[in-house]
Amino acid sequence: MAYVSIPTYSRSIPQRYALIGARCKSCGTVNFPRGVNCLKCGKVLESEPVKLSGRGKIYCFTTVSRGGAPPEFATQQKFVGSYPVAVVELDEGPKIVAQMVDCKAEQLKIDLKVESTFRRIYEDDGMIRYGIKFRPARAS
Amino acid sequence: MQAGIVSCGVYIPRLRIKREEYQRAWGYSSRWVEEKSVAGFDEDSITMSVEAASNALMNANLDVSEIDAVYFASTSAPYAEKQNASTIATALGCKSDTATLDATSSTRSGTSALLSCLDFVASGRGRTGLVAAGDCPLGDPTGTLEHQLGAAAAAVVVGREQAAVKVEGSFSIASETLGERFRRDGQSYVTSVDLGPYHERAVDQVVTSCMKGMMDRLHRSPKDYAWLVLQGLDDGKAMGLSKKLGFEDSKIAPSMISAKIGDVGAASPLLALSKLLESTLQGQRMILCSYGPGGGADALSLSIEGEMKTVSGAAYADYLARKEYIDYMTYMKVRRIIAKG
Repeated sequence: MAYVSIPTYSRSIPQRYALIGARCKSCGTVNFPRGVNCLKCGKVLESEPVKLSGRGKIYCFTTVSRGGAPPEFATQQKFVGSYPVAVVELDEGPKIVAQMVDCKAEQLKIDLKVESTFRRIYEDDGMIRYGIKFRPARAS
Repeated sequence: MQAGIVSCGVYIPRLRIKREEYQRAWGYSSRWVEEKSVAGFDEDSITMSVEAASNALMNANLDVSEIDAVYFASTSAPYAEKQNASTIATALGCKSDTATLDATSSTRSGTSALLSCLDFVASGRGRTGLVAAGDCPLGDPTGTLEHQLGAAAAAVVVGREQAAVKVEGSFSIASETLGERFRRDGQSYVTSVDLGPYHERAVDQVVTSCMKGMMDRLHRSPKDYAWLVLQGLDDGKAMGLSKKLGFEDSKIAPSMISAKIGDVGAASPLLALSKLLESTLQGQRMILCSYGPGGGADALSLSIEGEMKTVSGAAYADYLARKEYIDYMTYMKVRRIIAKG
């Protein structure tokens, strides 16, 4: 991943902090992140904001180890070692890439139920970049 | 207009470090802390507050759009300038016309923020408010204070009609004591000048006048209260003081939290309150008192009139049970102490 400027990051803050997606007014598909055209029907996206539940399941996963971390995560890798990253399929449909926390890499498996948690992602330009990570879902 | 507490939510990070690790590293440890909670590498007082606040909203079955105010309390806010409460409001998905406030620089800012939020709702400025207190203070690793400092967050939803806990009255004391726990502008570490008996007398005097002031105002005595929450001082001092004031040990014991998570600063009064409210009964009264070293105390008289709900998996005991132990070297890295200049 490359450097993300403050203006670019800021434009997507509702999406990054609070999982706000866009529901297509034509076909009802939840788009996340919001693009120009609807991912399903292809029409120019006219949408209403929708807060995603943060619940989903692991679609696939991997572990990032020394030498594998993108520059913004190099400090984290150095300080806490290898960290798991997953593609999570949210209950509402969209798939997103995020780190997994509060678990051991051995615990992860495809279809494991997960829930979102608000965390520090990395730091740049002296600012903390907050966002979403996932952890195994609490039994309830 | 009356304002009270609708629901509570808590958060304790997963990492723990045992007393033995401090014994091995330094040859000493805090007398009151068996193990303490540690904020993860990607956690801070804001992220922990967001978790606690989400739990408080879930426990109240409230939609975030109903929240008119978000007040944040901490002694370890990630930003010294640039509001922290507005970050929490954004992360929760609050509406943009939410009133926000940071209460910092004292371990009693948790109760101070709660009192301000009660005023916000009682005055009619808004209908429902949220107070989130999160803290993960750092002490000088070579000092004796550091071992006791833990990490946690607690949040309280404040409202009117739906309030299960009524706030009957409050009392605050402003005082000036030098050398107790403090942190100068620009410093990373909390410190203190160890003056033993001098500081003990100061704590005694401030807490006593605060609690007596509140009971006198309401024409009450310790026998009117089933429970006492007294935070901001170590467990030994709190037990001693409560006994001196006429409260049996059994009234304060259930709200003592530091043995398993450490001293969680501004989060401690609301966390201890949340823990107690998960198990107390309707019709009982309690005192919530929090001390801010060097600068005073707040006391609130609470009456439990309705049922408080806690969604399964999000109770204090659930968080206490969910843990992973780390060693001292990992702790130094996770809290980035090793990289500080």
